Amino acid sequence: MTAWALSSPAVLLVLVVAITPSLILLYQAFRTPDGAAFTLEHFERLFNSRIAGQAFWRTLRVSLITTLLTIAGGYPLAMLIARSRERAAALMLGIVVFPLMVSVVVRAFGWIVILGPSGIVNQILPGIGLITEPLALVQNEIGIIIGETQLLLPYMVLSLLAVLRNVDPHLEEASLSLGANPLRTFFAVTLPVSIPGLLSGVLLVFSLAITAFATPQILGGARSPMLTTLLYRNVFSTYDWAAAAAIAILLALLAIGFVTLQRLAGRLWEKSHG
Amino acid sequence: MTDMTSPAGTGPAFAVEMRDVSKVFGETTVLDRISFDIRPGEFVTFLGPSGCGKTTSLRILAGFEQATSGDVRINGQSVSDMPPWHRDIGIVFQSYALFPYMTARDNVGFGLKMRRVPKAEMAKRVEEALKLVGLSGLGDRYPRQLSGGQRQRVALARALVIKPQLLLLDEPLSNLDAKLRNEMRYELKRIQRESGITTVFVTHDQEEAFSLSDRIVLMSKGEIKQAGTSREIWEKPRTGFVADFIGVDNLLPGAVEKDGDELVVRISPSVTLKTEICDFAPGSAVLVAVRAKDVILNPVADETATGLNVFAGNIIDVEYRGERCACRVRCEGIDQTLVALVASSHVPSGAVTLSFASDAVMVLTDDR
Ligand SMILES: Nc1ncnc2c1ncn2[C@@H]1O[C@H](COP(=O)(O)OP(=O)(O)OP(=O)(O)O)[C@@H](O)[C@H]1O
Ligand SMILES: [Mg+2]
Repeated sequence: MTAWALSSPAVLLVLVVAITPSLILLYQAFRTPDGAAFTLEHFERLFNSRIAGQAFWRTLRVSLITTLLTIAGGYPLAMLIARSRERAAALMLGIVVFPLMVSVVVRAFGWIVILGPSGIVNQILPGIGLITEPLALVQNEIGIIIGETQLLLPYMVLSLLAVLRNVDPHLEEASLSLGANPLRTFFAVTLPVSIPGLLSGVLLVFSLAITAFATPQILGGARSPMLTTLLYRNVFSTYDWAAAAAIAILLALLAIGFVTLQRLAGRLWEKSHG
Repeated sequence: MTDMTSPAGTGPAFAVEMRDVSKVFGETTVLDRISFDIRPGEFVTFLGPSGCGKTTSLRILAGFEQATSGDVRINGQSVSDMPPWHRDIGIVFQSYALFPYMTARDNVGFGLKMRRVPKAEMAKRVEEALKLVGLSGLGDRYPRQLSGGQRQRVALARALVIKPQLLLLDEPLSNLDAKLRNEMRYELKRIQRESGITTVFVTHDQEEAFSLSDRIVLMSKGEIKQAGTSREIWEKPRTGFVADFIGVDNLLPGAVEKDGDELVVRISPSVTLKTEICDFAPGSAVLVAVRAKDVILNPVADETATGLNVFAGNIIDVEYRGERCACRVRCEGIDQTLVALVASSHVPSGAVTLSFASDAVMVLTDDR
């Protein structure tokens, strides 16, 4: 009873700020434009729209690739930090986390300076004769993936670090003493014990990737919309709020689907590994 | 190699040789020129107070730490350039370090799997190892489903099953309760005897060390203070530190003096002690050690008593130690109180007389 009383302001806040808009959204997505009757026409429109279909698959593709890249980059980084002495670890962690303090928009524009048609990369590479034509690194999926990977890497590193730091260092030493070289020790001991951290990192990065807006908006441009940027366009360019609501629900389903998958994977892993 | 082999030619004379091994971390010297040999099949204990370098020595043997200088040989072969995974050493850690997502059976089989032992043989050897440590039937459990003692046994089985050249145990019993510890101590001794594997055991518990070891290496601040059998260390502590560590109650600083033809130790302006053996020159600062059990307590105050090492005093405290009680006595002219043992059934009080024979007086360096 006291618990309820104590948490009632929080509950109220959640009701007002989170649940109510969601309900309005649901309502709009399933109503005819005059608001009179229940309809699935907005979803039909969505599924029949080539652009929306492309945006859906692009969102999935970009988010999955981003997640994989953050794993590839985040794992070695987290290992390095977890192994380093206190000072070096604190320094490296600071460098990893620092970008989180810079606005997403600023960072996206930063990438344009680096990757744009007249950006640093496209000036240096032809200069040393590696390429003749400028590379298209922004206004497409590559730009979004690069931007989001950098954006979300800290979350992966922090998730992995949380488990790697708590792993008994003697586990690896036990493995080494039993004849496993460092590579086999990594795959037989370190990787399995860090799976929970990996799973939570994947969940975090993927859900942030599918809902990211500024990065795809700035680095993806008009020709490669993701679900979020398409939604924005529907609200502010075509004023098609019902379509936007339908996209929002699609995004939510994508997120729920992914969370379910992640939970399942976690459950499975736990079951097969005690 | 020839000079390494025993006369019978059955292999190296020593399973482990440490020659002038030092270890420096930053600016602190953690091991200071340790030299020590271990014979094949021996059970040796590194004993000493916290921070004296026991774990560091073990980690150097295992290859997790490089000696700053000196040479380490295992079965006659220098191992300074040999990584841990080539050393063929079994280790049991204080935390057991069982792989949490593997069953007891998979934990025990890990080393065999890494050695690519065929499946059938592996299964057989794992079962044998589990049986040896008394865990048959629990092979399918995960570590978190096992008690502390059982985990400890799994860790031991995992280290033993690979038939290592050397078994290293770092305080493996310290996480167990007193009863289980005694039980496991006995088990450990049995298993080591049955397997015949050369074993280095690390502990700061002297009782554990004395009951288990063929030989004890007593360490302090990165140095070996004394190495020998339990009996040797118990009966003939070589330095003041050793005497203190094994619990000799009466330790009195003093200086050697010449008294006629004999050497005596002056422990206060008015008191000298007679001793049988004194390896120190007159003027040396020494520590006199007398065991409480060697101090005879006469419950009658005998003010007139004279002779060898006889003192009148008063009991100021009595400490119950089971069958015996330790009486703390303040004596005339001695700064420190002396401790004597009496039967618990007859504890005296008040004025008493203490005496001890001159051969009970051990004269040692004061290196505490
Ligand atoms: N990696 C390290 N860096 C710096 N100093 C260290 C390191 N490892 C150990 N030491 C120091 O070396 C000394 C000996 O440590 P060691 O772990 O060998 O002691 P120990 O005898 O095993 O003690 P305990 O009984 O407490 O386990 C300690 O003073 C410790 O602080
Ligand atoms: Mg230690």
